[in-house]
Amino acid sequence: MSGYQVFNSAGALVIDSDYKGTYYRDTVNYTSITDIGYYNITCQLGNSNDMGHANASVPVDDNLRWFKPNNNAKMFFTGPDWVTANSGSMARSRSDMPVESGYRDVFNSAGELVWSAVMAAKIPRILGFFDVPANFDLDNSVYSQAIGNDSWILVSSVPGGNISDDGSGTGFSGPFFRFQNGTLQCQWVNKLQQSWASTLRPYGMRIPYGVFSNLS
Amino acid sequence: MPGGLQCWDANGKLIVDIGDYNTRYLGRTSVTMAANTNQVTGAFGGLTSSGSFVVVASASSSSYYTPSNFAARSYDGGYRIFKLSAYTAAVTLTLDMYAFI
Repeated sequence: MSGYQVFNSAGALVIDSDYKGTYYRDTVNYTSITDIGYYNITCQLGNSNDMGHANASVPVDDNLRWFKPNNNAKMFFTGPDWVTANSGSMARSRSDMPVESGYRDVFNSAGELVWSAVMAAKIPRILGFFDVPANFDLDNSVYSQAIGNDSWILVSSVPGGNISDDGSGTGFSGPFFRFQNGTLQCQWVNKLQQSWASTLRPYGMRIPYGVFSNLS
Repeated sequence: MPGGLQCWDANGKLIVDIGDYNTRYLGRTSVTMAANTNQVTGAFGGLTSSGSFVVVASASSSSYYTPSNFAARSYDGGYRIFKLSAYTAAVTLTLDMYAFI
């Protein structure tokens, strides 16, 4: 079987001619918010008195969503996202964007361009992972990790972040984030819904973060 | 198999480095979570616990669900989906699978 593969310095597959990647689509800035303080979500990272629905919130669908937080932003990714004002920017990427040719092209067996050295500038470079270990007590304590000031968090891999009303009461559950001085902090919040212990605690949570070369 | 790739754009800016990870789109599937349950699992070749993620792209149900109502986690050879909200109706989810290792 013919094909083309490239591995990184850690032995991970970075290019495989059998697969498309994800390619930059656009960026939306999260500036103004509405419904400020409507929900009361309080945890060790603060409360939601200064949070609201981002007016420009990007829909939760089959685009990959990547968020670059501003300093001191608080985020609860619910769609519409519940954030502080001027919290940051949301970029989107997709697998079916046109791939530009240049310098070195990689095609799949159907002759479709899946990677090129020119297109690489529009492919997110994953630099590391925000790794909450299995069995970490995220319900009652904060997990923090330095990710740098220019990193985009892959929101589409964040498990949940949910505010909903089942008719008898409004509840919420999911990872609540704060970003300060290059460090991302997280605690699981929950009211009337699922805890970290009842869902992901045995498995942990792994969220890639990286940069878009065309945006930096 | 350690390796490495570096690329620069026309201005000399590094746009791929030897330690970067990239995202590969593995494909799409769907799964139905029965009424009054909070968890469902499914098999999908190529997924791993440390090197993959699963995106809930859409939700179809008689009840008002959104993709945000669910939490997904991959394991070796499959995925696990949790329902976070308190709704009880059955729901069918469209899932997109990605790998980065």
